[in-house]
Amino acid sequence: MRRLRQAVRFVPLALIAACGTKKDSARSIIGYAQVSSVAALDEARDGFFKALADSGYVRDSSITVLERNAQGDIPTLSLIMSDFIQQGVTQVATVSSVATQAALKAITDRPIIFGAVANPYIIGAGTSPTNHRPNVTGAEIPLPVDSAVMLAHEAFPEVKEWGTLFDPADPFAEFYLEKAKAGAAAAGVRFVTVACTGPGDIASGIQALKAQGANGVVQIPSVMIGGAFSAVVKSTRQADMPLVATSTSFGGAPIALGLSFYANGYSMGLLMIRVLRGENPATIPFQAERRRRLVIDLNAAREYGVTIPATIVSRADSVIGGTGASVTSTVGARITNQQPVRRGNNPFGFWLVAVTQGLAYAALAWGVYLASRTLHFADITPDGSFTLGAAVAASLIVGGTDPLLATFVAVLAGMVAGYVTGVLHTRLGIKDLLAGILVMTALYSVNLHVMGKSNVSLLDVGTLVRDVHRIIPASVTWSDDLSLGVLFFAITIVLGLILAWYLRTDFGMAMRAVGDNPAMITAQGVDRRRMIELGLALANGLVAFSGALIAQQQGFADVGMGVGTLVAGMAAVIMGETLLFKRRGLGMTITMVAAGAILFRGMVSLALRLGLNPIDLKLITAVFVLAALALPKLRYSRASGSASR
Amino acid sequence: MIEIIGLEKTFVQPGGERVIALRGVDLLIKSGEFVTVIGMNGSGKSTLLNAVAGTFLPDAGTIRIGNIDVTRQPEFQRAALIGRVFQDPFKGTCPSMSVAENLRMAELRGVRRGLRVGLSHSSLERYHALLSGLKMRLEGRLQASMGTLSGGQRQAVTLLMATLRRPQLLLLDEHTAALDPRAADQIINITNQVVREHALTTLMVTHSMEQALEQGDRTIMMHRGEVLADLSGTEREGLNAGDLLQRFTELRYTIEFAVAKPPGG
Ligand SMILES: Nc1ncnc2c1ncn2[C@@H]1O[C@H](COP(=O)(O)OP(=O)(O)OP(=O)(O)O)[C@@H](O)[C@H]1O
Ligand SMILES: [Mg+2]
Repeated sequence: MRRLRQAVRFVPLALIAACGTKKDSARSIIGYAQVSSVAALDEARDGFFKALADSGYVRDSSITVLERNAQGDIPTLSLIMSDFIQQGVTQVATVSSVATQAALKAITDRPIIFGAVANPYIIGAGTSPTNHRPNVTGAEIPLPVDSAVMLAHEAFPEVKEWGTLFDPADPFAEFYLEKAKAGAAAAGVRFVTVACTGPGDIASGIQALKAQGANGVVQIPSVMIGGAFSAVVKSTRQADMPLVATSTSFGGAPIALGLSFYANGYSMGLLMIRVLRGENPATIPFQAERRRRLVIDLNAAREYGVTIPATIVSRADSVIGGTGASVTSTVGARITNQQPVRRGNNPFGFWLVAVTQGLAYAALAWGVYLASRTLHFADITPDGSFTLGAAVAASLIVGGTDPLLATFVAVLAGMVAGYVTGVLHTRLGIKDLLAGILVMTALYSVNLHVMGKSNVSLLDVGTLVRDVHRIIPASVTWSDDLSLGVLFFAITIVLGLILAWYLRTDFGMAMRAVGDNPAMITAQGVDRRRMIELGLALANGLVAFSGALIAQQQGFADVGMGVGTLVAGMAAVIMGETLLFKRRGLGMTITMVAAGAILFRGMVSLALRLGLNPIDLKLITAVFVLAALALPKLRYSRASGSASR
Repeated sequence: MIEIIGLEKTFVQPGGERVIALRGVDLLIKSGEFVTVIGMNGSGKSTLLNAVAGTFLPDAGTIRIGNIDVTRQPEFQRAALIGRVFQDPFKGTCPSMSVAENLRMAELRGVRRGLRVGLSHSSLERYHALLSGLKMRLEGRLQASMGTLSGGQRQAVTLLMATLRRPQLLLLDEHTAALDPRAADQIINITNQVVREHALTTLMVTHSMEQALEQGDRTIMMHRGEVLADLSGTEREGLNAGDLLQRFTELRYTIEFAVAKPPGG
């Protein structure tokens, strides 16, 4: 507390010192905060520091910079701000709207210079470029979404209905949707929207757009969706919907019309320099980025099977790929060694994806079954180990590891996570639920470390699909979706057989008995604690396997993809048990649990297809699982109640 | 040879009250001896058996089975030496697994379990023969799940499981108490048959004085965590339940009087 007060007292002095332009003795300390490592924000960051360097402000010699990144965790931003105050920073630089919001709330006594903010008025930085909070100035970047819709119409006049996904939690969603609709009205096309609450729902969201009649996508900017943009690209490619991006930092769309985040960051840097030199932020108007950038990606156009009119290509600031000696950006270099995507014009494409995902979820359902039904252990680790599997597999694959080996390592990582949960419970006596929660929470950090950022794209690298195409004869021209579906089907069968065999072995039998009757199995000389540890390792290995498959199916791993995993797994198990009716037997149970996973995924897809609001999806799932859990209990208490009377 | 020396155990009840369940129990059991244990509710019979089985560790004392000191061994480890049947018919078997699977698990008591499907044709035939020996018409229900069996049938299978791999010590804790008289008789007969057949060292807790005297070669009487009387040979031969009760009341009086006396008195 005393340190804080001292720091606050020190600030005005530092400000005065900074105003004295010659003196270097009281060096400026810039607190730089960024919400996550999305490409656009990183570009703005690079522009910002370039501007500083160009004016002779060298980090660590003429200025001190405390650089912080919240890695997607928004509450961390306010912590960063209080840390800045405590460390006595003299200026605060914020990149992204949420980081700026956090700064606006926490910091009123020293300058804030923002960048990469779409609309500073929505977040309360001011009411006009000149009328704003006295300690705040910055560079806004109002992306030209309306122009992008009009350009999309010009490029693909045959598309009569466009659409976009939006994140209902994004403060700018409404602002951009308005712009998009205005653009659509000007172009005379229909425009539909689908809410999308997490990266895992992007694939289904695109399918839902298609079901609503859209046959092209102009994706509005969004931190969440932008972070998983590769999923948008993958899904639109496979759904045969041309994609127009509204930010040039998202790769993979044939057309991207946006503003340069780099230039925006550079402007922000110039504003910072003015403040460093003693100007008062109150008198510096907000500066809006106006310079548009049109990027045409001919490689992407080929992937989508579309041609872009020459009139538009000729207007482009940058053209990626193509045969001419046109400009090739750094993004283009990455794209040249991509694997060709095989699309199929399959009328059942939607259901193929749903079943493929369901098959990938079978391993998850088995993992949850193993923990909850066999070990009678309420294990919540899957919410973390699912993501862990995805993160490990994706990071390794991007780093050049063979997808098969990467998937295998992912399973091992999941096993370690489950084992730790087991040890916490058996050796330290922590309740099963709490042990799982602890590990799940810790895994959030681990997953971020593994990925190095909040989202790893697998869009243009070879996943298990490539291996399938290598094996099958060239004459078989399966689409990516079909190959993946067939592969996952084969994997599920093999895994199911292994599981059925394992649970029948002497060792597996003992594991089953651990949950059924711990006293009995101990009397038979089995170390119950060891069995729980190994059982949880096995269960979470399966869960991580499922995560690794899903990452390769949807084309990315995201730190938030694990939310609701356990509930989904439980739902699958309960559905499987319902499908069992009165049938018994291990093989039958294993089969039905897998069927439950496929059915559950099918129901989720159906809900999206029917235009059900995806915001409610998790709620509906939770209510469904609750009902399934509570029903037998209610029936039981009614029966026992009447018996006692 | 089973040696129990100076065994002590005090439980702390949730309320903080301390209950001395065993206060220095000494007991030597010869190989092949069949000992019955009687005593009032709460006298420490189950605690004695549980301490020997390793459900908890004693506060003091030594337990030796054969030549192995098992006092500090965890329960699962000494299970290799011990066969158990509990009072509760639900406690000894896995209800969701089949009779055959339960038997297979018991057959591997204390043995390393591998990744091998152990339920082979030959083992099924072996179990079939064993179940036929019980004469409870269970041999046809090898594949039925254990949960579908009656209490008596379950105890019979549990008894079989406890002795399938011959134990150094068989612990039976009122294993007929939850059964109707007919089933209880049947289980007692099977117990006798199995114990005699393999000459198993056995410790059997019972509530019935007649049963305690009729079965086995030796009877110990417990009271307040102590062995009050230890009867065997000719001394035991002539006794009936009434004598036993008489004896018990006398001894109890002596003990309680001694306890009630002021120290040094
Ligand atoms: N786990 C335990 N925690 C606390 N107290 C216990 C525990 N187990 C036994 N006791 C207490 O120890 C004493 C001896 O109990 P024990 O079960 O050995 O008696 P018993 O002779 O088997 O009686 P019964 O004939 O009723 O089965 C009792 O007072 C009992 O309440
Ligand atoms: Mg008892």
